[in-house]
Amino acid sequence: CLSQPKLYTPSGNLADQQNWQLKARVAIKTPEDSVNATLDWQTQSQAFDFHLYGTFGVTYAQLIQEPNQAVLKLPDDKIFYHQDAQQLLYQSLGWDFPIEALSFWIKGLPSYKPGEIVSRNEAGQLAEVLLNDWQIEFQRYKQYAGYTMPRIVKATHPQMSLKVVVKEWEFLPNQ
Amino acid sequence: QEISPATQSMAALIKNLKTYQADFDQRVMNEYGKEMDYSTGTFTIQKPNHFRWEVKEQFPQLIVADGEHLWTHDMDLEQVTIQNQNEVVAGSPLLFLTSGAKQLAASFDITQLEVKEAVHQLFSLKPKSEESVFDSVTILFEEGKLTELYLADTLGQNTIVKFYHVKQNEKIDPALFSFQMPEGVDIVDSRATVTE
Repeated sequence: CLSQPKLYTPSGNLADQQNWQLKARVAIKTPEDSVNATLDWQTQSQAFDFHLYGTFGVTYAQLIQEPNQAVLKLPDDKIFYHQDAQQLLYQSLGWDFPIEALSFWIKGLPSYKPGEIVSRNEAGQLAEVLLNDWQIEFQRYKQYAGYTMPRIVKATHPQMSLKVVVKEWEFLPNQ
Repeated sequence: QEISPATQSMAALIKNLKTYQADFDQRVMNEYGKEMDYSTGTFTIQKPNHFRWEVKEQFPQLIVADGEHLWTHDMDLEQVTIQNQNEVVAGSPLLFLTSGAKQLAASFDITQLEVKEAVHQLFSLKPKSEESVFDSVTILFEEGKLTELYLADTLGQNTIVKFYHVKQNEKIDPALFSFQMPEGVDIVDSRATVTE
């Protein structure tokens, strides 16, 4: 698993940081259910481990993307495989969830996906993004490891809504 | 429903427990043994169905069961969730502290494990229900007081909860079990979705 050298301060611009870890609190609402969870999200260039767990450390969902395979783990040993994480989420949970785009949005950066509409606040920071059926709002920018990033990211979609409140960012040297 | 000796001896430990108060710390380890989460707080129970789980550190939260509803205030998310208590507690490991022998036998297969210390009693509980998110719950009592909880989930994640400064059967201020709605939070009322 990932080794963690202590107190590495990242240099270069935010978009180039490929190796990071994020800890956040997440509220997920779908028509049937409302779940609060802790998100432990680790990224290393194209690979990532997106892990949602609740009180007493119970895993709600863990989505792992390795270079050529994605794995989705759900409670009661339900484990699903696919090449691509986004397809996997859609096929197994019916969630049309743009994980790759979220990895830009969570930093307060546009994803530059085709059709993305971006608006900024007076400080020039991302305020709102529209992409397909997703509407993303960015709030309470603050300093994390030397970068100014949003503390709160709200993503709403006709099918579900997600509120992410970021607690900790850690950047590691790009491999 | 024949009640095993292990279940009976665990039930005996809990039977005369009216109230329980302790500080706790909780560590969550992933399947590789890496610590993913550390939290501290206080835990208070009063039979038959009142409890308070207050998390102070890393992600502050307050969970209050007032006997009818479960109130969960998540400070980071600025959100309060309201649920019907009977629907929620069924799945939670806190169930065992308020259950009698019959209920324990109905919900768990219980075995008593070997221990070195005479004053320790160690029980392994395997939930009977399919929906339980836990593979097993292991409970340590020292001198008749709950001091450690070890939970393994179905995906290889382990949680260790340790209890300190345990006080049993002392009077508890009832205000601890009544929830005051804070200002400016989103309210998620899950009671309404009870399908008749």
